[in-house]
Amino acid sequence: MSIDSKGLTAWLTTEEPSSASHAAFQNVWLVWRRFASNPLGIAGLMIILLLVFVAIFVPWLAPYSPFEQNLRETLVAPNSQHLLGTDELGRDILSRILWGSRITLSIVAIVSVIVAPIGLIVGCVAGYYGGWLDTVLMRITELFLSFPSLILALAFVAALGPSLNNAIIAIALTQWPPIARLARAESLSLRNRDHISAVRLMGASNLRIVLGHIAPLCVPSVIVRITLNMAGIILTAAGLGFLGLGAQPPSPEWGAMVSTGRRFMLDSWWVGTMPGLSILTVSLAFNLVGDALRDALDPRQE
Amino acid sequence: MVNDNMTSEPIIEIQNLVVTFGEGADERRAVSGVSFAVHRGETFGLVGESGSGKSTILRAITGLAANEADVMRVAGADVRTRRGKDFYRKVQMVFQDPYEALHPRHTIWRQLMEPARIMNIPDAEARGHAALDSVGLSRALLWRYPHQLSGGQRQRVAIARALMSEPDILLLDEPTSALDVSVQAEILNLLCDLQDERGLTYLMVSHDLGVVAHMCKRTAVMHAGIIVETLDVDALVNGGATQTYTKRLIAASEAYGEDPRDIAQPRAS
Repeated sequence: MSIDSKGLTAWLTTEEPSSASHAAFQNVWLVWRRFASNPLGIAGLMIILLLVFVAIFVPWLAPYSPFEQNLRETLVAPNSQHLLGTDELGRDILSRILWGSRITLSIVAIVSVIVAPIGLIVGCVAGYYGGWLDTVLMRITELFLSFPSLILALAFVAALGPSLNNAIIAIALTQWPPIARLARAESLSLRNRDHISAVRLMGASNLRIVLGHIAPLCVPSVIVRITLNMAGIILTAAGLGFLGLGAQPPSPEWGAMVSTGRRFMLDSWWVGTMPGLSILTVSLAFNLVGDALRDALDPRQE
Repeated sequence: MVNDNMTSEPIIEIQNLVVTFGEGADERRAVSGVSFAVHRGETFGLVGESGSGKSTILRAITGLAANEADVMRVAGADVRTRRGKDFYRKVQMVFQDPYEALHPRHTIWRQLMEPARIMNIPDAEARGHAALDSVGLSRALLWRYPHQLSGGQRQRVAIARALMSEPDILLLDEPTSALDVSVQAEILNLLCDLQDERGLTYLMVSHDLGVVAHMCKRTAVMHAGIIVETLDVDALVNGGATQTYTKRLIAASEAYGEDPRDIAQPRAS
């Protein structure tokens, strides 16, 4: 075993990689080692991995159904049967929080998948081509940026009708402009670099330069930005849920749970506090991971 | 300007090249009316202080800087308006800072294969290996990234990449000024060897009279966007400069401790 792991380390750190995939593995290893040197980042990663684990295996983990009402046991304080207590309809709060992890995670994943490519492409095209295309794209971006993101999301959900899917679309609409600005700034500094000139001197098309040479170099900072934004995404989703414009009852969305808990805050503190603590923990975890990723992916450290 | 005693058609012929940056009140002429000709197989130097417009001429030839000229013929084609893939096959450039000039996230092998892919070069792999061999790089370095190489190795990679399309002309933009002195000599000798092997034509920009004296037969001295004079390097080294500016440049270089006569070694050919 120890010989094996030594061989693996040597393989990952050798000065002379033997193939393209070997070199790629070494790169990943290097990023991971820098990431792992940050204990807070590791803590955040553990929490996120736990969240993913729970989201996958929640049918086997949750002690009760998230929807099952028990009107004889409403607003029960945390005890051995209901570890986090029950809500006003007698539903087990722990089970609801565990099931809610699926909703939170899917919001975060879908929003990132929508936002990252749009922001990256808009930003890189604007930054590389410049001129009127830049002006048009950036004015559109600023149009979206000029509203507070929660207000804009509220307006969209109100127009589209309250539901989880519409909340996701609304959040995505508010989240791409910062990514686009970031990618544009990166492209602006990249486009006059000599290695881009060198590719241009090979006769490469503009499309090839943007997609093959500029966009990949913007990806690390976009990943970092999105990870840091995930906390904001979760909070916006929770905010929409709290206002009754996101996930609809009885679905166990954390923000909506906090909203119901507000009514019983004085005599049954656990109803609102427990989902609130979940939101806090997960947002914090994404922030910690984002910070650690920023250090790990920073090419200037090489 | 054009050297009349050469019978062959010049491979680069430029007349009255003007490059302007900015618009309106900010307009600034980087190059104002430059003419010269370079013959096949020759190394032609462009010397001058920083900001004299010498690098801009290279960028104008490649089309990276917008320009106007009465005549701009490169390898027999008029390139004033559009440069096709044929042009880029024949003309390649080596940049000043080799770290800047290589894609930071591509392996050495990918750096070499990129021009092959863009220009649809057949037998790219064989050419890649040949290019690496001819610049004296070990195959063990194939899968490394630029940041894992030394400055001299990086510049060798950049030269190998420029050779992938088997060009006729290499534009050298201060190819050694970012390197250590000992490495500078290696790269210059490599360039000389490549020229002998492949019959390349070099148009070389430098602020270093020693480097120019070592590499070039003829050189143009530039100041403030114009060519002050064009002269043989023999004349430059032996005090044959006629213009005051050239004399000042030589004097400054000597005061800095670089007598062109000391550095100029006869080229082994």
